[in-house]
Amino acid sequence: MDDGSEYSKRLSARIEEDAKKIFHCSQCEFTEPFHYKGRNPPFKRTVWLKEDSYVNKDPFVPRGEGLFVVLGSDCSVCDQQVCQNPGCSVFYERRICLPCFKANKRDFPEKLVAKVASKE
Amino acid sequence: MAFDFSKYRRDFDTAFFTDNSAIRFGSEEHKDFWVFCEKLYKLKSRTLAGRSRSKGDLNPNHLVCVECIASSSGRKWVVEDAITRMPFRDPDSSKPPVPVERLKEFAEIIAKFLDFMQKEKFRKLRKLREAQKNLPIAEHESDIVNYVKNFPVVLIAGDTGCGKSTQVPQYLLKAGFSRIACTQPRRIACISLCQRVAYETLNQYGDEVGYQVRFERAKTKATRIVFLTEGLLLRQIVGDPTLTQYDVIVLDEVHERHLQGDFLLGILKCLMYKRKDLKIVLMSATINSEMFTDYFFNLTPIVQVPGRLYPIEVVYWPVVSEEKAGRISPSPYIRILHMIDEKYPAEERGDVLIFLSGMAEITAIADAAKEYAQKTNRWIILQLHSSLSIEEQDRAFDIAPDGVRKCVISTNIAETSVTIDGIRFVVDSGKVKEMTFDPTTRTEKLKECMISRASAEQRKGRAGRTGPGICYRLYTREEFESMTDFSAPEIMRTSLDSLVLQMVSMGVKEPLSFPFIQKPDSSRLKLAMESLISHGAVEPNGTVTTVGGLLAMLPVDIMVGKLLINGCVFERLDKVLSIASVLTVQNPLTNKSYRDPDCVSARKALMSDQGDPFMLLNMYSAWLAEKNKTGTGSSSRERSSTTRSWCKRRGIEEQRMYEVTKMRDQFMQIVKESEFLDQAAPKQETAAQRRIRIGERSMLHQWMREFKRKRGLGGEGRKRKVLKARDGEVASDDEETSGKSGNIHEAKDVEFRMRRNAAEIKNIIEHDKVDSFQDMVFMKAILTASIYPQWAIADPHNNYKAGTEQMYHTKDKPFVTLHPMGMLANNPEVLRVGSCEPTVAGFPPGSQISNKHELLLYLSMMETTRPFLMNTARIPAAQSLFLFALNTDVDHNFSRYVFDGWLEVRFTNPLEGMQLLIVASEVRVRWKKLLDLKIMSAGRNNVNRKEYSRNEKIFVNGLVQIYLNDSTYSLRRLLAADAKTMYYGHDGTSSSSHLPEMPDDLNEPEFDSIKGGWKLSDHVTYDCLTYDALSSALPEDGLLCPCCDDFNEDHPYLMYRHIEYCCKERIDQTDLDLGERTRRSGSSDSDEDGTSSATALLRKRKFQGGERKDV
Repeated sequence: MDDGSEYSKRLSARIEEDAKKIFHCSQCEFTEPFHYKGRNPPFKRTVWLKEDSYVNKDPFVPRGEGLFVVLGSDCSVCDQQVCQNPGCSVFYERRICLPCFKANKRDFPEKLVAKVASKE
Repeated sequence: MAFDFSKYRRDFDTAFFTDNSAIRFGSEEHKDFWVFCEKLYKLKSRTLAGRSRSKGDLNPNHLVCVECIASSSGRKWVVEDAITRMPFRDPDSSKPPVPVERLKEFAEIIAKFLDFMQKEKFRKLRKLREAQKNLPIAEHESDIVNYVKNFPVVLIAGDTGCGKSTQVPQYLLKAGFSRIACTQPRRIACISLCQRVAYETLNQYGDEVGYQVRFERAKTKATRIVFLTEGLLLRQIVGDPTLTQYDVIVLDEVHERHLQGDFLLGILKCLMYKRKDLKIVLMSATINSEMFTDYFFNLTPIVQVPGRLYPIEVVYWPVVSEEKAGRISPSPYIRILHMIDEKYPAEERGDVLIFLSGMAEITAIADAAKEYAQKTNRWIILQLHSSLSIEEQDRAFDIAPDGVRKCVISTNIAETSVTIDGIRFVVDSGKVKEMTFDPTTRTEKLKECMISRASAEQRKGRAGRTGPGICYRLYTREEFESMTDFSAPEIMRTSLDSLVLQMVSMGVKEPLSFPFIQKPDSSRLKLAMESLISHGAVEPNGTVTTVGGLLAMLPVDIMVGKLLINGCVFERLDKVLSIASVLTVQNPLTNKSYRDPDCVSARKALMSDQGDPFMLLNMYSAWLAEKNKTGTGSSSRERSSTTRSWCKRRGIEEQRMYEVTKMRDQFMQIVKESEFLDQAAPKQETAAQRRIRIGERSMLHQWMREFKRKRGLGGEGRKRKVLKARDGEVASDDEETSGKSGNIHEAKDVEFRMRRNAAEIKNIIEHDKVDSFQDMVFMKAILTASIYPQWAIADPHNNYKAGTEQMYHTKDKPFVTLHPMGMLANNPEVLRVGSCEPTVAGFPPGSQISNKHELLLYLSMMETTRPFLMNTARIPAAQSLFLFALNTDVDHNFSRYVFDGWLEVRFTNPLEGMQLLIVASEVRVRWKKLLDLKIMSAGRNNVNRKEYSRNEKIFVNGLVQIYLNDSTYSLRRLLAADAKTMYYGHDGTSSSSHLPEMPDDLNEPEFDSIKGGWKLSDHVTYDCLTYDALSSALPEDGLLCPCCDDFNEDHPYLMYRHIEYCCKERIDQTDLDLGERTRRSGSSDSDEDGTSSATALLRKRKFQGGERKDV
C-alpha cells in the first residue's frame, strides 16, 4: 500500500470521527453536524480560510470533488458558535456575532455598520 | 476602463486553474467562475461609466484567503506562483502581456467568487433546514420519538403535505434508531423518497439512506434507512420470518389499503408477539384512522398532524345530462375554463387540474380544450396519465409562462401519487375507472364509477396547497353526500391468487382465519384456492406443491412464474426470459401500427402467424440485432437514432423495448437468486477482450455521470422548466427539442450498452430464435403449460369473419372477442380451421372433422366496453388438451374425451385417441419427474445428469410425437346442459359394473364415485362418460394393436393396457435412435410437415390402425 491510500484512510477515519461533532448557532438555532474545524479543510488542501471555521463537505455535489461549505465559526468576542448567515454574524477580518458587533459598533467602519443596519 | 479578464481567459486558465487549485480546471465551478467574472466586469464598467454610485469598497473582506492558496508542495503565494505559469507573450504584439497588478486583481476575484459560492451553499443548506422546521409535523418530533421508544405500535395520522413521509424516518434516525424499513405502496415513491430523504440528511452522495424495490436496489451495509415496497417486505418475511434485519418498520400510506399493505398489517400484528423489541409505525391520512387503532387493540398512541391547506371554496356544478352513449361532453369543462378567464385577471397566477376517469375521456377533453386554448392564447393544455412516457409526464410539472395558465387533465394519478404545485382550481368529474377482478370468470373489468367521499376530499385538497383555491364539483351536493365513505380496498376487488399462495406457503393453513383488517369474501378466497390448484401450485388438500413454493418466492405473477420455472426445467431459459418480458411490458405497438400500411409492411418480416407472444419475441430479437448492427464504433447519438427510426418505421415504441430489456435482466436476476438455475460457468475472456470491455464500460459510465449532472438528476430531481405556449399546444418532443430529447434517448442507449456487450446481445438473439420445429414445440408446450387454464375455443361460426368479430368462448365466459390490437385479430385468416373433412356419421351435425383444430391461449381477459382476450397464441387442440388438462374423462370406447368438463374431442379412430392419451400421460409423468429432479438439485448445482437426460430423452421424444400427431377429430364446447347428463355418476348404470381383469397382477383402478368411472391416473377417469346417440361403435372384429400388430382384443380397456405396455416399450427402445433423428431434423428443417422419422413412424402406426378400421 502506498502512502497516498494510507493517508486517505487516515483522513477518512478522522473525517468520520469529526462527523460526530455538532455545530449549533447561538443566534438562530441552526444545528448541523460538522466534519472539520480549522483553516485548511482536509478535503481541499489548496484553500486556506482566514479563521478557524466549522466546515462540512459539500453535500450537494458528489464526494471527491473536494468542495466544502463553511457553516460558521466562533465569535471572536464572546467565543460562541455562530453561523455565517448575515442575520447572525458579520465577517470583517474576523467573525463576530451580531450582538457583539452591535455592542462594539464604534470599532468598525461606519459604512459597515450602516450596511449591517440596513439589512436588518 | 474596467479590465476585461475574459479576453485573456486562456492565459488565466493556465496560470490559476490547475488540477489541485481552489477551482479545478474544467469543473462546473470553473465554468461558473467565468460567468461570475463576466457579470462582475459588466457591473464594473457600468459603475465606472456612471461614476456616481461608486462607493468605497469594504474589501478585502472574504472569508477565503486566496493570496496564499497552497500548492501541493506547501503554502505559496498564489500570484507569484501564477506569474511563473503565465504564458509568454511578445510585449509588442496587439495583445500585450497581462500586468502583475491584474494578476493580483484576478486572485481577488477568485476569492470573491469562492466567498460568494460559500454564501450560496450555506444559504441553500439553511433554507433546507428552515423548510424542514416549518413543516407541520416538525413540532411533533419529540412526541413521535418518545412514543416510538415506549410503545410497540404508533399511528401517525397526517394529511398530505404535513411532511410525515420524509420527516419521520429522519426523526427516528436522529433519535438513534438504525435499522429502519419504510414501506411504500408504489415503487416510484420509494425511489423519490429515498432521494429526498438522502438530500435532506445530506446523504445524497452517501449510502446511509437507500431503497430497495423489485429488481432494483441501492442499499449497502451502511444503509440505515431503507425505503421499500410493501411486496418486497412481504418477500423478505418469507426468508426471515421475524424480520431480524430491522428494528423499526414504518408502514406509510396504510389508509390506501393495498392488498399487500393489508396483508403486511396482519402479519405484523402476529409478529408483535414474537418480537417484543420491534417497533411499528403506521402512517395514514387523517381519515379513518380509528380503524387502525382498533385493529391494534386500541393500545396505539396517535399523533394527529393537520395538513397545511389553505381554505378551499367548493362549488357544486352538476352537469346536465348531455352525455350521449357513454361519450363525455367537453362543454362543462370548457365553460369553467372560460369562466376562469372572465373572472380572474391573467396576471393572477393559478393553474387548473381536471380529474377525469380515464384516458379516452382525457383525450376528448384535451382536444376540446386545445381548441379553446388556440382561440384565447391563455392556456397550455397538458395530459397526465400512466401510459405517457416519463418525459411527457414530467411536462405536467413545468411552469406556465406569465399570463398563461396551464391546465392539467389527469386521471386519479394526481390524487395521491403525484403532486403538482401551483394548482388553484380543481375540476372534479366525480368519476374514476376502477379495475375489478371477477374471480368466477377470471376477467379484469375496467369500470367507471363514482368516487368515494374520501377521494373527493383528496381531489379538493389539491387546490389549496399553494394558496386559497376553488374546487368545482361536476355533481350535486346530494350526490356527494350519497358517495361511499371510502373507496373499496384492493382486497375486495382484485385477484387473490398471489396473496393466497403467499399465505399458504408461509404456513397460514386457513386463509379464512387470518387476522385481516377487513376480511375478503370467503368465496373469493375459495376461488383463489381453486385457481391455484388448477395452476398446480397447491395440492387439492391445501398443501403447497414444489412449484407453488417456488412461485411464492418469485416476485412475479403466477403465470410468469410458471413460465420461468418451466423455462429452467427444459433449459430454454433464454427464450422464456424474453417471452416473459415481452408479455409483461405494455404492448410496444403504437396505435397507428396496424392502421398505417407502411408500418404493417415494414413489420412483415417480424410477424409470426402463431400469435402475439411469438411476434413480440421476433420483434425484440430484431430490435436487438439492429442495436448490434450499429456497432460500438459509431457515436452513441448515431446508434440511438438508427434504432429509433427503425422502430418508428415499424410502428414500435422503442421505450417498450428498453423496458423489455430491463425486465429481462430483472427476471434473469430473479431466476439466479432463486438458485433454481444451474449457473453456467462464465465464459473465458482473453485479457485483451477484458481490457476493451472495461475501457468501454468506463467510457459509458463517464458519459452517464456527465448526463445525470447536466440533467440535475439524483439531487433535487428534474428542474422545472418554463413551458412554451404554441397555439395552446405544447411543443412535441420529437423534432422541436431534438437536442434535449435526443440526449434522453442517447442515455437509454448508453444504459443499455452498459449492461451488456455485443457478444451478450448476440447470444440472446441466437437463443431467441424459434425457427426449428422442435423449438416451436417446446415454446408452445412451455407457454401452454404456464398459461393453462386460460384457453379459449373458437365459435363454430367464425370462419370468414373479420378479426375483431371472431368470437371465442372460455370455460367460464362465452362470447368474448380478440383484442383489436392483437396480432391474430389483425390476421384472422390464420385462425381458419384447415382441411375439414365432411361430417361423418356418428359425429354431431355440423361439427368439423380435422387434424388441425386449434385453441387459443390468452394471457388475460380484460373487459372494457366488452370482454377482450389479450395476448393470444394458437395451440393445437387435442395435443394441448391431452398434455395439460387437469381432468380427462374418457368414454368406454376411448373415442370420446371430455377435458375439464367443457371441451369434447371425438376421434374418428379410437385407437388414435388411446395412443395420444398414453403418450401424453407418459410425457406428463416425465415432465413432473424432470421438474422434481431440477428442484431437488436447486442450489446444489449437481443435477443427476444421467437420470435427467434419460427422462429428458423420453420426454422430448413423446412431446414431439404428440405435436406431430395428425389424427382427425372433432372439437366441441360443452354447455352446462351437456355437463349435467354426461357422467354416469355413482348410481348410474355404467356400461360395465367392473373392469375386465388383467392377466397380470395389475391392481384394479380406483372407482370414482362422483363421475362413475375408474381413475386410470390422477387426471384420467375411464368409462365415466355416458353413451350418447352419437357415440361411435367399435370396429366389429375388435381392435388391433398399432405397435406390435399381432395383439387383437375386443375390450377397449384391455387394449388400452396392452398399448400402454407395448408402446412404452417401443418408446423406450426406439428412444435413443429416434431422439437423435428428430433432433437433427428439428434443427435442419423448420417445416412442420417435414417428414422426420417420428412422423414416419406415427404415420406407419396410424396407417395400420386405419386399415383395420376400414375393414
